[in-house]
Amino acid sequence: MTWAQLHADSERLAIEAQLAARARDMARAIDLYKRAGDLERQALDQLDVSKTRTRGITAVSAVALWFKAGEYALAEQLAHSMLADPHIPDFAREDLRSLVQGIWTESSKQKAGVAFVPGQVLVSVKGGEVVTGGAPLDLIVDNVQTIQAMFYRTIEYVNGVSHRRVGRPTKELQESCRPWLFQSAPGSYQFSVAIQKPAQPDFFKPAIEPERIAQHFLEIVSASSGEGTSVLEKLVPDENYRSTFLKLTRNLAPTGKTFDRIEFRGSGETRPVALGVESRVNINQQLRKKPPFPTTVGEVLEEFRGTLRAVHLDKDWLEVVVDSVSVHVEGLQDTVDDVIGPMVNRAVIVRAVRVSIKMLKFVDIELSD
Amino acid sequence: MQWSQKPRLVEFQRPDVRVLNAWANNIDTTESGAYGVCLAAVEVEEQLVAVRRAETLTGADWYVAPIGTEPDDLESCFRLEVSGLDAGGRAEVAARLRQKVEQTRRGASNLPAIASVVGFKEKSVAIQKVGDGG
Repeated sequence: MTWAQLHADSERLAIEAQLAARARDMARAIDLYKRAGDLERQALDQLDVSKTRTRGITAVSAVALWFKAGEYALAEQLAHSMLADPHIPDFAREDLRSLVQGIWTESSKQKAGVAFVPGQVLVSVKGGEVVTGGAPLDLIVDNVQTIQAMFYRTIEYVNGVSHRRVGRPTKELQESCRPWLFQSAPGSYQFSVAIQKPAQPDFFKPAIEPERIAQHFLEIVSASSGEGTSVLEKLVPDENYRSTFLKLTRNLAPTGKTFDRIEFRGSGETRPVALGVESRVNINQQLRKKPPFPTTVGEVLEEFRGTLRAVHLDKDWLEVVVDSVSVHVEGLQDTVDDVIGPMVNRAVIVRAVRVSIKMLKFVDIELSD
Repeated sequence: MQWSQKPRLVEFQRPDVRVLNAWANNIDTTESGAYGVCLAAVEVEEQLVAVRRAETLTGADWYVAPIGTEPDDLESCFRLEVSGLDAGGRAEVAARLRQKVEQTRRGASNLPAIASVVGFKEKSVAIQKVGDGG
């Protein structure tokens, strides 16, 4: 049989497999993916070495199909043999490396003896002080905490939980959907995050597809950093949730001082959702589209750059120290724990409206370092 | 970016309740709808037709080639990068296309590609070819 015939047969089986997976018939989907992978592997063998693009595309396809079938050993073996081939084009090399990363993480998850919700997010922090495989500890700890907060918020949102202003997620959620961090092959500083599968089968509402959580997370990050507001408004109609997601995403976006870029990829995806220094501008535009409260003539917006020393969400105030002088700001409105909590003792920019000589009314806060 | 002012008419069967229920997932529906519209758009505008589908880890890539190309291999094909937006106007479509082109450039290396965004609310399709490094 020719490459064209074998590839066409593989293609048909892969489409059937995708339909079976969509219908939640995973046993059939896995069998079909395995057979599609076998055919794609045979198709690859039919190709002359001069057909570099076709070989690259077919090799990636075969490895991906075996990966989807859970045939990690076969997938890894083929990926490595193709990576060792000097004729494989760069685009395929990049895809194969991403696939190998996915294979390693999936294999680690199997060995952990814990079930995970399908899908994971690979996070890469780049530029500035970040080097290949290494990064300042506080930078990574901050990012990991914010990503954990965003995952919890995503799960609460898709599960129809009311918007939480103070405190941590419920103990049940934290124990049921614990985020795990996996080491990934270094290239900048990388790690992946997977969500532990809840033990109780009815944790998620019937309409929720748990495998969508990682994708939903990525879509929220992408829409939050976009230039318009309508995509995020459609994705997250609830205004409180939308504001919290925007502020959490802004906490992740680089200022350019310690790092330049943070990228998020779905498992095996080569094209990431990226947050750069410019993302903060887009996020701030979205946040400032609607004034936080009506202001009157004479009320002036002021900006304070200093260190956030204290926050009291219940009593509705914060204190920021600017050049050794403490500035008291009231009316934190919809500011939530997981957005402002990690900013304590950090350099921040606070925007507030002066409503009287003694009183400043809170508008917004963001990290400045 | 240039916007073609030439309107195109798409005929489709109005989905019944059964079809709507089968496509209740907004993300899948937008993605599949964008594939259909975009494949039609590149055929009409660029005379390119879908010849092959190849797997990636989380989905699949489509490959398109000039009408009449023998489908013996993928040496002269373009990878079609499709994105669908079920909300937002022309500005959002243009912004998504810029984002898609940038992502495609980073991932494409020496594989020629076409980035395309279908805006369902705006009823527009934006298409841009992204480099061919040989």
